[in-house]
Amino acid sequence: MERSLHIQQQIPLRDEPAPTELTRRQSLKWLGALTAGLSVPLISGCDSMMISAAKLAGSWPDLNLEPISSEGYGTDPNLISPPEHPWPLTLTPAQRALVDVLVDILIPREGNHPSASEVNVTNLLDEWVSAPYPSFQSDRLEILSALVWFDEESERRFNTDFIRATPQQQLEIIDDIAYEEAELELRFAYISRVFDAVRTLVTIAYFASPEGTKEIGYQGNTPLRGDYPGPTEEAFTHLDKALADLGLSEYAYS
Amino acid sequence: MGDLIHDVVVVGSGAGGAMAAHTLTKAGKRVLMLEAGRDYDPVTETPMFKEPREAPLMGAPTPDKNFGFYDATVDGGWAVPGEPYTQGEGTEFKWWRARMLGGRTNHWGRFSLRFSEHDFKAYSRDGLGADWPFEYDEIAPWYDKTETLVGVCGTNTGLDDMPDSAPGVLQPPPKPRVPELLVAAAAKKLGITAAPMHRAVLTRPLDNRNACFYATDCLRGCSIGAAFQTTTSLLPLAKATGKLEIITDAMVKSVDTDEQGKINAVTYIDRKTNQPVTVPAPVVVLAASACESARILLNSKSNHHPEGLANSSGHVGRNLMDSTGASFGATVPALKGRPIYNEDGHTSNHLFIPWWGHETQAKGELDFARGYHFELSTGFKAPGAYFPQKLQGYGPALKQQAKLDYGSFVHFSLRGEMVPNENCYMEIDDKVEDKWGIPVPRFHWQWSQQELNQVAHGLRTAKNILETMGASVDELPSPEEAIKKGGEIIHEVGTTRMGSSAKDSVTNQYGQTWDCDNLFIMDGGVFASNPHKNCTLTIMTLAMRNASWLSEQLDKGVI
Repeated sequence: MERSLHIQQQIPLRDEPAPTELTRRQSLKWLGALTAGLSVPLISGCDSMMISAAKLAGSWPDLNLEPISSEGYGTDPNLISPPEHPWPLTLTPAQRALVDVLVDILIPREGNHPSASEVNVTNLLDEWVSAPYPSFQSDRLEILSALVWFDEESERRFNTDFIRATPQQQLEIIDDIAYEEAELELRFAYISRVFDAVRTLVTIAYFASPEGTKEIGYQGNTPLRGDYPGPTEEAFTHLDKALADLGLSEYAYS
Repeated sequence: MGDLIHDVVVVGSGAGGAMAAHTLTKAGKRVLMLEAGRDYDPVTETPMFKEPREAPLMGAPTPDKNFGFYDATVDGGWAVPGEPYTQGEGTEFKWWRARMLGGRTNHWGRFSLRFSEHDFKAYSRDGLGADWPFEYDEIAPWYDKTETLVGVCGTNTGLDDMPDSAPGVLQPPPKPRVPELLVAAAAKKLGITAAPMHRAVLTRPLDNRNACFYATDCLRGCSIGAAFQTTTSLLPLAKATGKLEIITDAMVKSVDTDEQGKINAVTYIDRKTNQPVTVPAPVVVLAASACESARILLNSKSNHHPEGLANSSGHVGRNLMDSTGASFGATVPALKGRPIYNEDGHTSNHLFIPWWGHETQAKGELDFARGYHFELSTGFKAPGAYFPQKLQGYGPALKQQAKLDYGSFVHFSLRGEMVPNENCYMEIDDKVEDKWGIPVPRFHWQWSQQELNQVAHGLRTAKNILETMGASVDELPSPEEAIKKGGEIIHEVGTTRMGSSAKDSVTNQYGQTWDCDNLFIMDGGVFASNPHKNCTLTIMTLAMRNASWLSEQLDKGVI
């Protein structure tokens, strides 16, 4: 049920020696804290020091945002006709343009399959960061900071903001942050986690679209007559092979 | 309201209250039901077939809708606007409420497992907690009647943790899905048996309710009546007798007594006018949920009942129990890229893992006294409602990974029995009132080593099963990290427990309070222990049995 990203709120810098790299164990634990909605008390002093050090090493922009002041949809919304615009969207045209580029790097158009921006994933992200609820406002801080980071990183490397960089230059940055190894490298440790959380959200949003749902092959949400048919013959064939490969055939359920 | 003539006033329209009202009205008794929440009609209000993308934030949980946008719960969740509760020092207890006709039955998991003689007599076996004041054999026929009326799918397994139903009672269960079959085989290799989950979901039509058509999460409620909730079953059936009157938006504040200390009325706040209303009540049945009913009793103080009603034992609010909960899951390589078919089924686990450890426990080989079961979450879920595992990269490779991983995640949810302990209880916080002017509960909670050991065992077992399935499993969390908070499994019971003595219990075996013969409790508050098997079926079974007994007493003129 944990769907909000719960990206960790910024933690102030401490006067402690900065580590230069993260151990695998620290990284995993911290990753959990960032993306699984664990609350601050579970992050040890050591972890929060790591977060501070990573922010420093990664030139993380600490934004100071005005809180969202709109209302939520309430505790008794109409579920049959959900509100199409539950609260005002807040991303600027420039921010949306950058989000369009980023989500389409994640999920580009492939043949007949649309890109993420073509199925309104940008809108979903805007709705997400504009939601008036606390955990979404935490996500807002991280995501908006990440947008600034992309522009500043592009300036640092190529003297231009991200959307004006060439596709090749854009991917040079993305390649540095899009893989698990980046989480162990101090200067990419923070952005890579925010990127990971956004990637998950974008992927879900894409596959939740009509085109994405068709592409992934989901066959449910349709009323069936009579008893539930269970697995297809093809699905059973796959299961039987899996059971055999795992040495479990003799334990098959009957 | 003073001219209304009712035989019984029932507080609450959920599992216990609706079953009590159904039983009483069928026996010809005139019932007034008071429900704190608003009127609610699943036929017109359930978002059947709605896609996650049609909801704000793809339906993600928010403080307004804690279980997601489409969850049936109205004006509720972990926080009800204007109706706070407080915590003792060091406590973080979570109290789920719904303010709607039918209460929490509109969204519950529909898991309907019988308690056994083993469960009812745990104290006799291990000396912990309390026995129930009856034998399984006395309750078994009532389980049969309840399962028949409610409609439960499942099978008789003969397993010692799952007492059989009478022949013909259970409806056929749906066929298992591929990941469940893989779990079952892996568990079997470890000597653990999987079985069809028993759920209050119709697979055959019953009364005016349709059989399941295997779509739409039951959490949203069920407009076709297949997934049991009182608003499509017991309440319409009771209303059809012409003997049931329901008042919604009636937030009960107190049960009132005359000068002799005998109960004669109930006072509620009309939420629409914010005015108190007192209705005469020859007999009162409290079924407002374990903590709400205990709160009403503790708030109903008078000269005759200085510690609150029915509290001469001092046990009202004590013995608070929830189920233990913990979750553990992993991606199973053998399930990656498997052929896709419709795995919605009845939208919950078709197979689960009942407790298998009675014998090892009897031999003293386990460091915890009570059992647990695993619920399984697997399958090709609706996109938007599932959460992909750790993704890598971007572009076509990212999409490829997400598609390959789809349907390969297997999740174990542990639900276990806790042992009641003196650190888990509720009382009234007389410094805090809700917006209706009613003093609120203050909760105290602390898991004991019993529960922590049990959860540690469960985590190790889940890991073993996953590894037997070929999954590589992350380091296990500690039980302290993994165990859910008190109240979080929403199986809170025990605050008005039944027993065989007025000294250490609040009611007798019929839910009749020892102190007041015209006051009954028919919710989970009466549980003497909290077996791991989900409380609702037993709440309904006891309510049916005990309302039948109440009706007989009224016929005899004893009450």
